[in-house]
This record gives sequence, structure tokens and C-alpha cells, in this order.
Amino acid sequence: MAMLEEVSNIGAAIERLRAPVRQAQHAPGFIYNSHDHLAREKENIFMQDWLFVALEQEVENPGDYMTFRILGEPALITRDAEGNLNAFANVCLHRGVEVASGSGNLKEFMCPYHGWLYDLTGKLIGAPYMKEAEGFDPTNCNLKRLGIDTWRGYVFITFNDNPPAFADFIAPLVKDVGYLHAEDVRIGNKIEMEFPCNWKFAVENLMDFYHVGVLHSDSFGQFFEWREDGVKLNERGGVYIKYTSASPTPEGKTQFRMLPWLEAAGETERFGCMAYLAPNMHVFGRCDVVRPIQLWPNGPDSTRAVIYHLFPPDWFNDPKFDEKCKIYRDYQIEVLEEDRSMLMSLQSAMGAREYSPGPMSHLEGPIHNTINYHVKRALGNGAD
Amino acid sequence: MTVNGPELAYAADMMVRDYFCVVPGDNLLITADTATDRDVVDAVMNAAHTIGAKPAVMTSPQLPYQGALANAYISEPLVAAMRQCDAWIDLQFPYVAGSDAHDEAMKSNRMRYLLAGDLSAGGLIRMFGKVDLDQLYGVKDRLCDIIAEATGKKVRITNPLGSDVTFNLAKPAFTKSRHADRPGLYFVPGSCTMFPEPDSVRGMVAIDAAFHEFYEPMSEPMMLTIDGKIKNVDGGGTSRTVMDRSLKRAGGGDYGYVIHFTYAIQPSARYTGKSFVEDSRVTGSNAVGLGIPFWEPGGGENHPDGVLTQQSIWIDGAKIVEDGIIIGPTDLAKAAEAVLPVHH
Repeated sequence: MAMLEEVSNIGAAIERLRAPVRQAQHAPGFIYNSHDHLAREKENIFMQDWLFVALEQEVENPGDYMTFRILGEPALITRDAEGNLNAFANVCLHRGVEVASGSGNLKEFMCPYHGWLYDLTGKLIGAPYMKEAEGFDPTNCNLKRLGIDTWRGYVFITFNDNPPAFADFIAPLVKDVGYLHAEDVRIGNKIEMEFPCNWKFAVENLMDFYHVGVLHSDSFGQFFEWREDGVKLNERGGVYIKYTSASPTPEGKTQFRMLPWLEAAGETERFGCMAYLAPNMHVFGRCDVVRPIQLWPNGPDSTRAVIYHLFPPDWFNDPKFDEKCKIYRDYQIEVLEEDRSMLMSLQSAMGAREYSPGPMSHLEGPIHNTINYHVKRALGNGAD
Repeated sequence: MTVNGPELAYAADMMVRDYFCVVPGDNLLITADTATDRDVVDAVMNAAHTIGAKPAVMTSPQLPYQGALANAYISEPLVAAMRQCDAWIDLQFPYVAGSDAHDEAMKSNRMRYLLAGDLSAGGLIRMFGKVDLDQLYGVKDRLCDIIAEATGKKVRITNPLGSDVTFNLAKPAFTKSRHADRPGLYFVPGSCTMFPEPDSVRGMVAIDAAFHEFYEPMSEPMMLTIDGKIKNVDGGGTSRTVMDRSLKRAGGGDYGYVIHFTYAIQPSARYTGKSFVEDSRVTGSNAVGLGIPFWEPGGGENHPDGVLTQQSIWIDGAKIVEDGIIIGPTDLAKAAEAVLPVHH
């Protein structure tokens, strides 16, 4: 007879996650692999917060538009004839079909199913064979507006009709990475990748400097140094880390030169920084490139990453720009592919019988800060 | 430690003699099922025999349900035995309490019934042998007094899994006394019950484990949304299907009410994931009773329970429990802090 057969229960596991980082344990499996938990995250986080969806330069001209599906919620952003940005639920007021797909430039959007027509401001301007419908009022059939705002060229939308103040939301980014001047750089690369893991694993991986010297020892890890005093934990799960790194190329040497504003600020080619703004935005700065990243949950075990490489506009005049830009692109993919197998393994462990959350290292403070924020948000007020 | 070692014998003696007040000559019925830990059965019977009582063990196939749903599965010899005994320790799980036969036997007002359910030998040792019951009841009774005095006041309960529920306190439906020296229904010591006005319960209850048709811990929290009645159940993985049908049985087709909350304080109880009775008495836990109360006439077709852990409790706006630990009033907090495991 076993005198004591104590096991962990999930409530206790969450309690241990909440402990100070030097006493804390990682999160239990359901946080990362449960459909129900993801549904809570959708309602309590993704449908409440501002979400980084695009760069203004992607919708620069009147008629430019982009579409998204965010945890099953179709969204559309447009630049209208007046030059204003708009965001809508990409849902036809007739049967709910998405009125726009992909991205491009159009003067209006025609629902592909029955031909209802909307202009760039979401106004219904045509609905075939609907005059006879009793009580039909086209003025009540405009696309539902979503919140939209911008900061330094980044575009954010929100599904929340009463969202948190944008200025408050963006304040940590203003303070931490405003000096990267994202408004003064343009897209060199836009990379989209899928990872077979929960979105929070992807978020955490990008702030997990504990693993860099091991998993990435043959790539960027060789140029990488960081100190705990370079880490700043922000409210609302945010993180800013300043560290020593190198140009994100195989040799660690820039293919161009220093970003002029960083050089003017006295930074060196070893400059590196990372900021995370919950729920879906990372910004990495290096001496020669600004790299914002979006992370999107597709399901409990699937995440889509959108990675931008932004360079000053005059660098695009370099006759070898495309060739050089490809070096950054290929190296980015190489590094993220190094992470892929670990992310798969992490995800797999969450459903394993023998998985039990292990203790955190004090080097995992950013993860501790972020995961606790996400868990509390998802589980609601009682978890405070 | 051997199976029939002194710790188990001591714990059984504490249960049978000290707590359940079995005396020489008492006709003690011990009911067990095919899943009961036989070491517990033997230890309880031995303790009763040593006292000079007349114990008898009846073992039945494990009941598929609790409450009146179990009626069809209870044998006539068992019905006869429960009517004829002076005291009854029920080690079956699901337990017999709430069945029609149990109701009838209790109405005789001559019998003491102890719902000891699914205690393992280790659990019996921890629940009765590793705690000072006098000290434990000192704290429990003081807390129960505070709760009783707060009848009509608002209670709020939260926990780290996302529970956030409020209700108005109803009058206590029963009290749990230190010694089972009078006819009636008794439970394993270690918790204090709060009875809500059922229609007043509002919010979210997030549970770690459930006793619906059987007892099981969960791999993810089950969320019960309550607005007077239970309105929605989500999460809980594969448990949700069983809870859904259990609640519908308990609620007469809909999900029914939350009928009790508890605060557990048992310093030796451990969460094993195998015993509802012990897990729900780990300090800070809350056995959330759902459906229809089995202690009410005609009630208790089925009475699912959820186990909520690390709870915080406010009564009338004052926080008295934080993350499972009593923090006020000061005298109670000090007394609770002093309740520690006892080692002989």
C-alpha cells in the first residue's frame, strides 16, 4: 500500500505557475492543447484587444485592401478614396460570405455569391433583386465596422466595440522601440510560415533567450549575449529585452550598413533588441533591419507567423538589393526551422501521459510574465 | 508500512470509536463494493470488533449511480440490514446515501450513517489518524458559526482556474458535529458547508475534478456558467459528456442548481485524484454540489459534485480565505494556522 499517492491537480498547477519565477513551474498541458482553452483565449483576448495585422505601406493607395481570418473571424481593411483606413468584418450582410479575399486593389467589393456590392467604406451600394424584399433597407446593410488605428506605420484592428484606449495599448511600444523608426523603413521581405504548435509556444520561443545558446549555437547563437539587467517586464504580459547580437545573416555581417538612426544614437553593429506586445506582436531590432512579427493561432496546435524585414527606402536602390535581401530571408527561415522541431516536440508533450510541468529557470522571467498574463486573461476575473 | 500496521489500526479506531462513537453491543453495518479498498474494510471491522461492537460487512457490486438512481441496484438484504443496524459506515462509492432505502432507514431515527465513500487505506490514515480532530473541529465550528451568522449576506468565491461566483447565504441545512453520538447523517471530518440561496448563485465555477457517475480528475478545467441555474458547461475534456448527462438527470432535464459549497481544512489530506472524499478535503478545496440536494425529501435523484481548489472566499465583502488559507478574522486565522498534521 502506498502511503502517499499525491498527484498534481490542474488548480495547483496554475497556482505554481503564478508563483514568483524562481519558485514557479511551467503551465499544464491544457493551456497549450485544449480547444476549449483556445475558445476562451479567442473571446477574452483576441476579440478584446488590438491586433497587429499589417503595415500601412501594404495598404498605401486608395483601393488597397487586405483580408484576414482571425480565429475564424473574417476581417478586411481598406484604404478608401479619401485616404482613410477602414476595418470591417468581412461578412456579407446577406448570407455571411466573405466579400473580399486575399489582398489587392479594388474600387468596390462584390460578394461572389449573390453579387451584393460594397464600397471601400463598407457601404452597401448594390443588392440585386432585393427591391421586392419587404422591409429591406440597404442603409442598414453596411459592413460592420471594426476598430482600426496605426502607430509608426503599424496597423492594428480590434473586434471590440469598446476597446482599450489605443494610446494606452501602444504606450510600451512607444517607449521601448519607438527609436527603431518603423515609419521610415519599407518591406524588403515578408515571410509567412506555419508552425505545428500552440500560438503561445511561438510567442514564448521568441523571448526564450535561455535556449539560444543551445539550439541556435551554430547559427545566431554564436553572436548572441544577453544579461538579465537588459530585460524589462512590462504590464499586460509585455517584454522588452536589449542584448548583444549581430546582423541576422550567416556571417553576422551586414549586407548593407547600420540603420542611420541607430548609428546616430551611438549603437554598434552588435545592437539587438526585442519587444513583445500582447497578444500577437513582436518587434526585433538589429543594427541593419527592423523585424516586426505577427503570430496567429490557427488552432490549439497550429500557429501562423508573418515576419517582415524592413529596410530604409534608399537601400532598395542598391543594384544587388534583391540578392542581399534574399540572404536575410533565407537566414531567417533557417533559424526558424531550427526552432520547428522543438516547437513540435513541446506541443506533443502537452498531451503526453508523463508530462508534468517542470520548474522555471530564473532566465525564463519573460516567459513567466507573459504566460501568466495570458492564462489570467483567458481564465477570467476569478484568476486574478 | 504494512497493510495492517499500527497507523491503519489507529486511524480505524479513531474513526469507529472516537468519531463515530461505536460502543460495545452496537450493530455496525459496513457496506463496501467491488472497488472498495479491502484493507479499509478489514481495519474498520477489526476496530469495531475490538471495541465489542457487532460488525457485519456487506459487499455489493459497485453502484452505477448515486441517489435514487441507484434504487434498482440495491439488494433487499442490504435494505434489510440498513433498517436493522445501529450504525452504518458506508464505504461504497458511489455511496448509498440518497437512495430511497437510505431515506427510509434514516427516517427510523435510530441509526447513524457515515458517508466514507472512496477512502483508501492511506486516505483513512490521513483523514482520521494524522489530524487532531478536536483542534480541527475548533476551527471548523468557528468558521461554521461565522457562516451561519452571515445568513442572507453575499459570498464571493474565486480560484486560479477562473472561478468567480457570488451567492446569498441560506440557513445551514445541517451541521457536522465532532462526535457522531446521535442518529443522523455524518461525513468524514474536514470541511465546512455553505448553503446558497439557489436562485442567487451567479458567475463561473471552474472545477479540477468531478464526481458525476464516478470520480475523476480533469486534464483541463470544466467551467460551469451559473445564473440562478447552471446554464452552460464547457471545458473538462471527456468529462463534459458525463457531467452533462449527470446534471440533466440531477436537474430534471435541465442543469439544475448549485446546492452547496464547502471550505475544506484538513492538513493531512492529499490530492490523489482517486478519492473524492479526500481530494475535496484538501485544505482550500471546495466540493461544489450540483443538482438537487439528497438531504431534502424527494431530492437527490443524483447529485454530481465538482472539486474546486485553492479558493478565495469573501463574506459580505470581507476576504476570509485567500488562495485556500484562512486569513481572517485574526483569531480564526491563527487557530487555522495551528492545525497541522499529527504524527504519532
